[in-house]
Amino acid sequence: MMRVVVAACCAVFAAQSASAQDVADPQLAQVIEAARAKGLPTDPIVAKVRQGVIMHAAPARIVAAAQAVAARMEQARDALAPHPTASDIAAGEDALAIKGVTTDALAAIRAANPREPVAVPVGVLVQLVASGIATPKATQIVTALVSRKATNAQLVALGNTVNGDVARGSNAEASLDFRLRMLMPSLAPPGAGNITTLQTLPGSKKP
Amino acid sequence: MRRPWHILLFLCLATPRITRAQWQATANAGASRLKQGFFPETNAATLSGTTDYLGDYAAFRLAALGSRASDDRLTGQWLAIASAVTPTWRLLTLQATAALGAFAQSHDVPTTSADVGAQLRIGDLTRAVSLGGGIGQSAHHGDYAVHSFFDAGFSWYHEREGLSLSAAIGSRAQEGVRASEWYLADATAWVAPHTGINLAIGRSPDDVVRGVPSARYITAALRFTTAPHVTVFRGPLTGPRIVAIRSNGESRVEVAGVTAARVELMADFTEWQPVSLDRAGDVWRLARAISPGLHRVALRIDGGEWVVPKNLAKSDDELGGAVGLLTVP
Repeated sequence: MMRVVVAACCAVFAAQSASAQDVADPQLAQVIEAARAKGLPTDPIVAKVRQGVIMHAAPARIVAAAQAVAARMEQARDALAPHPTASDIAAGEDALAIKGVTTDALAAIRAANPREPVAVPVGVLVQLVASGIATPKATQIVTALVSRKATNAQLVALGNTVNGDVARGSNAEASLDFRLRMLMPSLAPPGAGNITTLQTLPGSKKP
Repeated sequence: MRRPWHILLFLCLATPRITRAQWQATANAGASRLKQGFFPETNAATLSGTTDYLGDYAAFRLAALGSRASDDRLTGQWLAIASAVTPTWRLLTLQATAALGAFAQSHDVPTTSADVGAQLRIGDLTRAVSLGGGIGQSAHHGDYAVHSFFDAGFSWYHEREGLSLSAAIGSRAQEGVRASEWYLADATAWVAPHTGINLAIGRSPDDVVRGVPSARYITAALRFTTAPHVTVFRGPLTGPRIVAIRSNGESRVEVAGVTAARVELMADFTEWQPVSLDRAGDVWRLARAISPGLHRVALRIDGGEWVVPKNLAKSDDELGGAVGLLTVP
């Protein structure tokens, strides 16, 4: 046990400052090196390993979690193409770890805003899905808000208030509906976005 | 009960859609008490329903109401309303409306009506006022009498957490008789996402075409709707709550709802190292450069177990524990 913990710490250190060749645990080193070779950010893998070490998780679990992070980052990078930032990829990876969030949802958010970082909209998508909103609806709402030029602060406030309402016992859809009513008047009208309009969002459909 | 119900539907603008065209349906089952002119007061059981289509620039509503009075009188009415709505400009919306309706009562022949009107709405999706007016005709099919009328009215709408409130007041001018005032107030407390308790009071104008004086009523009903609502009965949010703030380019997190001597935070942006927060009045604060986006966090109060802040959605951390999902602007 101790050997693996030390190895994990070494892997963390190696990823930050030296090559992975000196890493004691070959599996973790391999995961990190493979991610680096694919041009993926390694920080999320390192963070997961560090979290596992701090939380005294079993070594096999840490390795599995690190492998899962690497796999999801690759999916996230592809879904958020063509030019995702490291934060975008990290947010996408986090999102794909949530049950129900799909690469199609990430691609829809990217399509709504192809030029700007999307880490915050992806984060709000995750907040809504984790609160109980169905992924297609959460995706449609977030892409609509992005298209209507909602600021990061507005998006985060929406996600936080819905999370808070649900924690107080509210129905998630009712909370989202009510909070949207309060937010929408302050946004640009439909169609004002230069990317897409509410009627042409990917995946939008009549209820 | 007939006219205020009709007029409110006619004058109040349909709630604009939020993100896409949508349908919704509402049903009410309740009891009313009516006072009409010199007639004895009566009670009535009422059942009503509406179906709405809310689009970008158009709305359609089909409504029906039936009642059975304590004197065994049965009434029924329906109303179809079609509206064209302009885009909102600085909280202003214009709407043109056309309505067709019919009213029938046991031991009497039906009356029909047709109205056209226009309304100006000022407000947003949770609170608004509107001014409107319209002209129309109603016909009594027993004596073929036809009367024209002109309505002018003011309405108010406010939706707040768990409550839907509306009120309207106006006047109806009719051929050959003095103007008749009407008003109504309607409040619904949502006790469940799809169920509310509705109370309404109102006064109808004189119904000249049927020769019936104005009526006052009070109604209590259960309201059911397909559109979910935030409910009035929600528990307070107790326990630690966290929020991320970005101000003047600097980010920080604040934890509230904690009575403790020490609060620690562990997150991906602390490299999963426990970091003590600084007390700042009623909140605990950590100023740190945090990238915008989704982050995973956990809190520890006075050296206890690591917990997920109450206001955050929870996620499995794949390591046997749970973390909170915090989005940083």
